[in-house]
Amino acid sequence: MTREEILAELKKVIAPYTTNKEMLAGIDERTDLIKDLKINSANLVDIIIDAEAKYDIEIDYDSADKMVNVGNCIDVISEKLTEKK
Amino acid sequence: MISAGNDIVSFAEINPVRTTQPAFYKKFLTDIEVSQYQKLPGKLISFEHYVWLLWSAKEASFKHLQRFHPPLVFSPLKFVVTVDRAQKVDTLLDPDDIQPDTEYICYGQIIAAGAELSFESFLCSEYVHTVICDSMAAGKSHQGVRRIADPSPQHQSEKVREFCLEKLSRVKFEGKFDFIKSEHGVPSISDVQSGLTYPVSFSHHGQFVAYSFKM
Repeated sequence: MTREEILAELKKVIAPYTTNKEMLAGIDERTDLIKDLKINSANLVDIIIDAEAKYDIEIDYDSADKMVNVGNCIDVISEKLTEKK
Repeated sequence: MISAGNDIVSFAEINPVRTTQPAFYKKFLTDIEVSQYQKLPGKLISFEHYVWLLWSAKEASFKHLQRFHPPLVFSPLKFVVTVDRAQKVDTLLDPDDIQPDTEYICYGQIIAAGAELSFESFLCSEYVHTVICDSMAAGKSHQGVRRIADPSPQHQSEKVREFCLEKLSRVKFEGKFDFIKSEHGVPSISDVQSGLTYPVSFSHHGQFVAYSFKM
């Protein structure tokens, strides 16, 4: 999957946890999940679990810690998809 | 240097089924923390509430420590929580603050980033609110929880500051206060007249907002 394809799917994963739909529509790799999308930190674990199910990957603790902005999320998902091959 | 840290989790905003699934809670609770639930005297609190109690303790301590260590990363498994005891509460702790239906207070410690912190958590059927206690620092701790009508992020942010200002006006009758943020986004209360600053911590989740500060 390309980064653009991962981003398109990632938007769907994030959507239930943000009320800032306008910002979600225009997210880029620098968008911060908490500061920009106003996602409550308690929902970050939900996003990790949903991403695992969506991409059929396992996100370890160290990788999960890095998932602060959209670019980091794409890095981690891309890395785990490559490992799966 | 004193600090402040608090966190609130609204149970209306979490998924109760997912909360009790190991694939979920093992993302942020260690095996030891999970096993400690069995040792809690009297099983006063449900496992679902225990999971979020520990989450809020980890978050509150992260906010407390971030003031001293801005590059600190919130890595929940590296914030190790021990709950010492939980006790039922029959009366409100502070009649000035709105803490509806407070049922239990839980006490414990957190070890993280080379520090050991104590915490108190207020747990009721609707939320858990955790405050980091720093008995070594001078001043009195103040905290509060309030329900708000509109849970939008902007409203949460405005209301928690209004709520905190109300408390400040009761604690210090004179003075004009403002809130400032460090370059890393860590908030403080600024006493405009004296120029003094005091650490403050804000939290919100769904229809609840909360603060803690020491003055």
